[in-house]
Amino acid sequence: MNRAIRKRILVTGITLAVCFTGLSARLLYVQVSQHEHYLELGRRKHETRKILTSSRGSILDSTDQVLASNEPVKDVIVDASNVKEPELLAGLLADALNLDKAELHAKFVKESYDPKLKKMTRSRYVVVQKNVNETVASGILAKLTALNRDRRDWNQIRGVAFEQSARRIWPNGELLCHVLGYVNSANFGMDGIERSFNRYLQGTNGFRDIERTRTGVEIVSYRGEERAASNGGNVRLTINMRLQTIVEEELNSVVARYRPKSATVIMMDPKTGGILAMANRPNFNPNKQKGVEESVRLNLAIATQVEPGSTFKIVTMAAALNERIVSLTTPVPCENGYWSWCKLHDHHAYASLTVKNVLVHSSNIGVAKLASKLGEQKFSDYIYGFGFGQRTGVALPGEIKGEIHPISDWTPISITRMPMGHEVAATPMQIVTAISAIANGGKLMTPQIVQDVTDESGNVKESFPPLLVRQVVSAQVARLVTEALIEVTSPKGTAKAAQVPGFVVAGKTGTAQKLENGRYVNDKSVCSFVGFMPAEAPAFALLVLVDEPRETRHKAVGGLVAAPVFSRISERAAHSLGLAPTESIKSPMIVAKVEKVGRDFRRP
Amino acid sequence: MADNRRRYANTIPVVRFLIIGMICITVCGAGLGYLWCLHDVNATGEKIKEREVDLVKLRNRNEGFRTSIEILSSAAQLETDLKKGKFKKFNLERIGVLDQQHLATVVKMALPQQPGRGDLRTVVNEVKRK
Repeated sequence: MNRAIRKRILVTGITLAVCFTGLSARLLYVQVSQHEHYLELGRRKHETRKILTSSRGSILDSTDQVLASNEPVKDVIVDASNVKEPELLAGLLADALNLDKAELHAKFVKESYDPKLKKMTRSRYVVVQKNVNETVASGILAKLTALNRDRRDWNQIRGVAFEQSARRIWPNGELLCHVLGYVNSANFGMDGIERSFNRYLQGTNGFRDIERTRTGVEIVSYRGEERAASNGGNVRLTINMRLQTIVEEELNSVVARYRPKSATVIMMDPKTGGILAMANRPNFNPNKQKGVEESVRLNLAIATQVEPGSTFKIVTMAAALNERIVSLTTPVPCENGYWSWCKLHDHHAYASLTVKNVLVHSSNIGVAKLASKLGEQKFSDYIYGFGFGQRTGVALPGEIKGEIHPISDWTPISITRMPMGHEVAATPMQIVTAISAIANGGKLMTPQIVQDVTDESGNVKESFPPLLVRQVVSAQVARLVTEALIEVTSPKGTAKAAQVPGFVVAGKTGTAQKLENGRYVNDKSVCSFVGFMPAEAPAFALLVLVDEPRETRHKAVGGLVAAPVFSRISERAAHSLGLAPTESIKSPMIVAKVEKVGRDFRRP
Repeated sequence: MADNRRRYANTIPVVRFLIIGMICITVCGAGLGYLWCLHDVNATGEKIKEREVDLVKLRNRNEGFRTSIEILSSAAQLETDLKKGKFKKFNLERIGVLDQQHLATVVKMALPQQPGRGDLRTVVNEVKRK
């Protein structure tokens, strides 16, 4: 063989050997050294982790009526890079979803730089509209199918996708809005029960490792690890929707009649502390919460403080009786209506009143004398004992403590002002909790809004039994205070309008002038009535609080504004709860003014 | 001799062919079986997927109906419907008694017994008589 040929063969052989050695080395590098890296790349391309979304739990009332639930909806998404006729698709979607066609078209044709592809591309994920009703989504799909029926495969309209989603709904609208709260766009509770019980309601998302084909279709037989989604629990409230409806209706009539700045009603079961109904005005619809002011979203029952006024006299009297410094029949000198030492007035002049009548006639001087006998320290202890100046612990967000000044900050006349509910600030919830303690034999309970949390099958995951805070006063003292409170609603008391035919009512009115720039103003007041019924075996305690009713000064008092509302709510609530009347209805009571009696027979 | 005859005999090695054939059939069968199983697994997977999609659709429809029921039976909606006059209000004091609701109890009068009539007989205390 020629030497030159032999040389060429050798060179070629060596070259090939080098090449194959290089290829082998590269193969070894890729297959062995970089094995994990390429495996990961392959996995990333074909394997994905599909998130299995959990559904948010419902909120129910004590009778299992649904108060908050989820509605299945769809998000309409368009892959604009896959749309061949953006104008046609924009027109179709704009018609179906009531959107602006030009705006939608602009979204579809808008291009941006893709660093991966290194060129300008259309967006692959255009959110056309979120939370679209299932019927509307089906309508769009039907239209698309009809359009594509007459088109060839290459000419079909593609790129529209419907992502399954869920929207939170509150079927009762405005009813109970402050208690239920609302959620944000990510279905995370933002206020009310939705927020405080978010961790129970939310549930846990699951996942499934899946493999897809080149066209994106899932290969079911290659499914990997899977963890099912755990749906959120159902939260059952102590609220009774029938009572809530009564409260809301009566509150509406208060708003229509007095046009107040705000109004609050709380109904509580004194034995358990369970809240049966709670409503505030102004209110809002959680289903349409766009543009709702923050002040309207506020749950005034726990997040606002007022001077309780004369309703606070219950605390003073209970304290004095519990310390045994007086009895119900002990006479209290009332200075003939004006106590010059502290410049304190009474509405009516009394020389002397028994302790019981001090409450019945709501004597400011009388309670001031009782508190003075009690002393600052003991009086302060009882104020805190009844739960004022501290959060009640109700499971709702945003509760405030109210304001009770420490004794070191008291002025010499504070001991005469605080017993009648001035110089103190309390939340409506604190007031109703305190009266519930009297109704419950002196036992102060933590207000409860949630009964239990159950899973999808109805098994109880967590329950919230009644919580006793402390025994504030003895059962005997509670009975004595109740006795006096019954007199308050008698014809000789300040709250005749709170009477309920057939039942014995115990309660106390309150009228607190409002402070503006450090001075009490005459034309603005907070009218309230707090009581319980039936007095001998209370089924509920009820607070009606109306802030700044538009009424003349002499008519804007608790006995005329709030007490009749208490009466109407209590009467309807007694009927709803099936309470048997204990008293005979002796004489007819005026419940409404009749404008016209009889029929006009002249008309055909 | 006999060995040579057997070694050089022009016969077909049936047994050997049979063994080879059996091995081929087994291998092919196993391969085809594997393919059939694989196809079946994939087909079942597709069916599972279809059923899952159907289940999700049904679940969503069910959820939708449930939501509709919740809205329609909510206190607020019932109140609105009542105001619109969709339900008739009960006036418990003024419900009149309809003709169909009248109850009539027919009491049969006992006829005086006639002696000597067939199976009828006078009832007496027979124990005392004995």
